[in-house]
Amino acid sequence: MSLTRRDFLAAIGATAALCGVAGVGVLTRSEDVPVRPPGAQDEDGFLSACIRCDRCRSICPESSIGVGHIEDGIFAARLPAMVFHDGRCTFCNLCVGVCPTEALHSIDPGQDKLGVAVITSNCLTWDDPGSCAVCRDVCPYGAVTIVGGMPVVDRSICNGCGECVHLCPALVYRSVSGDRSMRGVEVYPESVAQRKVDDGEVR
Amino acid sequence: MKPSAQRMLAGAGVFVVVSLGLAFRTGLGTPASFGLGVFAAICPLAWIQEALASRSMTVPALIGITLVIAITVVLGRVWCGWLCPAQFVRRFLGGRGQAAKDQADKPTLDISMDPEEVQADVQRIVAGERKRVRRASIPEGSDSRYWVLLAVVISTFIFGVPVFCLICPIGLSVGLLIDLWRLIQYNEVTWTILVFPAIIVLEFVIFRRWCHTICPIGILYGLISRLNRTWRPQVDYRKCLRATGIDCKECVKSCPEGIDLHHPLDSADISVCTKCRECVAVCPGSAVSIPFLAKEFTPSSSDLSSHQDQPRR
Repeated sequence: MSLTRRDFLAAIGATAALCGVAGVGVLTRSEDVPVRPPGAQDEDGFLSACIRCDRCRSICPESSIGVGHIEDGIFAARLPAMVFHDGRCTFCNLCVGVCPTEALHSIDPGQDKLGVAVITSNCLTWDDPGSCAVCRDVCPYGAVTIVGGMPVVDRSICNGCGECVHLCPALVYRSVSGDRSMRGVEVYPESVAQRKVDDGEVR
Repeated sequence: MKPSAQRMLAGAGVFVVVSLGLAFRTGLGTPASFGLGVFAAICPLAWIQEALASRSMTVPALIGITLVIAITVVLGRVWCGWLCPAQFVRRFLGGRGQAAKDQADKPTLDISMDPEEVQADVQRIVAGERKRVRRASIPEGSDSRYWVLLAVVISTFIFGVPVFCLICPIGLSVGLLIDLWRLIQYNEVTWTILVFPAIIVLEFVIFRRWCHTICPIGILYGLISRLNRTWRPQVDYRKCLRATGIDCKECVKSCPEGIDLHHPLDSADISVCTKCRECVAVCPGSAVSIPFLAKEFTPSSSDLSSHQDQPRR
C-alpha cells in the first residue's frame, strides 16, 4: 500500500468536506428543539446516537412521532420529533423496543417528562374566557386547571404526553402546513417552554 | 428479464417496504436499520458512526451488525448491486449514456493478444497457474473510497454526530419518500422536499462515479465481502470463446466494478463484485455463471485442443 500525493489530497479533501457539512450543521442548529420521543430528552446524546432509521416513527401506534425538516437545521432533518396532532404518547415503549442504537429509553411517565404543555396565543379563551376547557377535561394527569376562565398548566405535573394538543379544538382545520400550525396548547421541551414563558410568548 | 430490470425491481422493493412502514405500523425500517424488533440489520456505516459519535456500543446495534456481516458473507456485496437507490439516481441522471460514460472512465484492461496468446492464456488459467480466486489483500491506497471512509470516521468522532448520514444519498432518498408521503397525508409542507433531491443530484453530478469513487458504504460492504466465498462469477472455459482463440472481453467490459474474470490478479478484487449478473447476461458463449459454490470444471486438454483445430472467427 503506497501513499500518493493524490491519496493524501483525497483524504484531506474528504475530511474537510465532511467537517464542513458538520460545521454547517452546528451553525444551523435551532434553539427551538422539538419534543423528542421517550428517553431522547438529552439532545446532544440523541444527536450522536440516532441513525435516522425511521423505525420509531413507523411503529408508533398513536402516530405521535413525526419527522424533522431541513428548515430546523441540517442535524434536525430526518430526526424523529413528536407531533401530537394524531394522538398522544402513551409511553407504550414500542419505539424504544425497535430503536437499533438505544437512542430512546423507556421513561417513567410519573417521574420523567417528554416536555411540558404551555398555553399559546391561539387558545380560544383569550377572546372568550370560559368558552373552552377541553385541555383540562382530557388531561390524563390532571395537570390543567381553569383559572379565571383560562387554562393553566401545572408544569410540575405535566409530562408532555400531548393529549391536550391532540384534542385542542383551536386551529385544527386551519392547517396549511401540517405539523407547523400551532394549537391553543402546545408541548415543548422543558428548556424551550421556560424560555417561551419568560419571553411572554406563551403562558 | 434483463439483469438491470431485475435489479431495478429489487431496488423498487426497498421503497415498497419503506412505504409499507408509512402506510401501516410495521416498524420494519429503512436501509439504516431494517428488521423486526431487535433482530434488524443495521447500515454498517451508521453502526460505525453511531459507535464513534456516542462513544458507546449497544446490544441491538451489535446484533444488527452481526446480521449484516452474516448476510454479506453469504451473499456478497448485493446491497450495492441490487438494493441501493443509487441505481435509480444514476439512471435518472445519465439515462442509457451513463453506463457508457462509466465504461469510458473505467481503468482499461487492455490485454490485446493474438489468438495463440489468448489460448495459451486460457491454458494457464485452466492449469491453475492463475487461480480464479485471488486472496484478500491489503486495501489499495488508490481507491479514494477508503479515504472517504477515513474522513467519515474522523469527522464523526470530532463532531459527535453521524456526519455521513447527513448527506447520505440513500438516507436522503428514503427521507424524501417519507416527506412526500407526509406532505400528502398531513399537509406537511417543507423545504426538505426540494433540498434533499438537490443534494442527491449535486452529489451525483459533481462525482459522476459516486459509487466507485466516494461511497464509503459501498467500500465497507466490499471489505466485509472479502469473507464472501459464495455466489462468485465463474468462467467455464469449455464454453468461453477465449478457449477458441477469440479475444472476447465482453464480461470484462460489462463489469461495472472493473473485475476481469480472466485475469483476477490484474483487475479489481473479486470482493467488490455486487453479483449484478451483467457478465452472465452478456457472455456470448453462456460461459459465465454465478453458482452458489465454485464448481470444479476441469476441461480435458482435448477439449481445448479440439477448439484449436477449428478455424478461427
